[in-house]
Amino acid sequence: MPTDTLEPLATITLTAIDSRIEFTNIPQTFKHLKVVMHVGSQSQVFNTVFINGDTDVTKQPFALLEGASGGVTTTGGASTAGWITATNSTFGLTELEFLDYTSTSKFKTIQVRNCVYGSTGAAYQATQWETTSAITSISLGPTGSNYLAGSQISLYGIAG
Amino acid sequence: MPNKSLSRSGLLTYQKYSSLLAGNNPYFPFSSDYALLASTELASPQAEVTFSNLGDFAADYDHLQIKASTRSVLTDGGVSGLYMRFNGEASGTNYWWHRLYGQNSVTVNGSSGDSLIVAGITVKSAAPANIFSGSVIDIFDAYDTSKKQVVRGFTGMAGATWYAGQHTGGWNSTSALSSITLLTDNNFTANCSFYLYGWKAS
Repeated sequence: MPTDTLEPLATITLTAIDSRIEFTNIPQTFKHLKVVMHVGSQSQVFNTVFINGDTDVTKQPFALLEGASGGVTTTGGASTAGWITATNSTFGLTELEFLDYTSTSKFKTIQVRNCVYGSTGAAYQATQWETTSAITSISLGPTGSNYLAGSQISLYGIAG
Repeated sequence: MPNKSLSRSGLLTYQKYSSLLAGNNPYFPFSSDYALLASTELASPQAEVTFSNLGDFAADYDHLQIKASTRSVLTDGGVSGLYMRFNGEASGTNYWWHRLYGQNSVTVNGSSGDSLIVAGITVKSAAPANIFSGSVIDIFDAYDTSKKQVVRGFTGMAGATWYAGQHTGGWNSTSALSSITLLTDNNFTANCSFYLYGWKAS
């Protein structure tokens, strides 16, 4: 018997600029989490995601495949860490999926799909949080910048 | 959502409402257009995972999606594939696939006649413990027998061994979909997890 699956948990809509947004007390009753960001930032910068308040970005290696006006490029490796794809003033769309976020036997994998007008273009990114703790909070912010007023970020729980 | 307090409702103020909602916003019981159809998490190494009896969902769902966290028991370096077959067809050249991926450099390759679809990747056990590759794979119009099956996968992992890719593939058949089999080279490790979701038809 199919189970109702996708449940909106929270939405944050900024009425003024803000350097970070955070979802706390995330329920542990789902299998995956999805964050949908329709955001702009004051300048074109990379974003950071801090999980459970952990700001040690060296535990967040990523692999990036990115297409823009200059062609398709890729970046990765053990020392390539610490940010998710870029935002700028044009209100791009980013989706993040946190698979098996309550598992205590796996590092957390984060699938990032991003579309921003401008030099960063469209991107797919696989990121890890190299910790086996269950995810209870997620904080997002543009590095050294602010999200614009009107930015909207939603959190969904996905049953499994 | 919070209900309005009794002090502002008709019980204490004798205010009359023409609606049973009495000034409250309507509550819509949650109804998802996106539903979990099946899932499994491996308790021990296993060569493949099959979601079967998929015809049971044909009346209610248009598109299917698989989310998978996978790791291979193979201990040599690099990554293995996350392969897909339909309806148990394991031989011949009836599948095609292509991929655009980054792994040290950008590569595009594929096959137009294969015995499986390379729908994603599976990290091997040479990677540090607890690392699993992640894949999200969509199967569009899965039950439309006027179209051949087409899939798209976003797949990757990070660290010393890294990979970020978009895969596409298909099955040269218009047969009604009955099963999906996921496999890798050798076995999946314990704790690999597989979830099958359906997007409801309008």
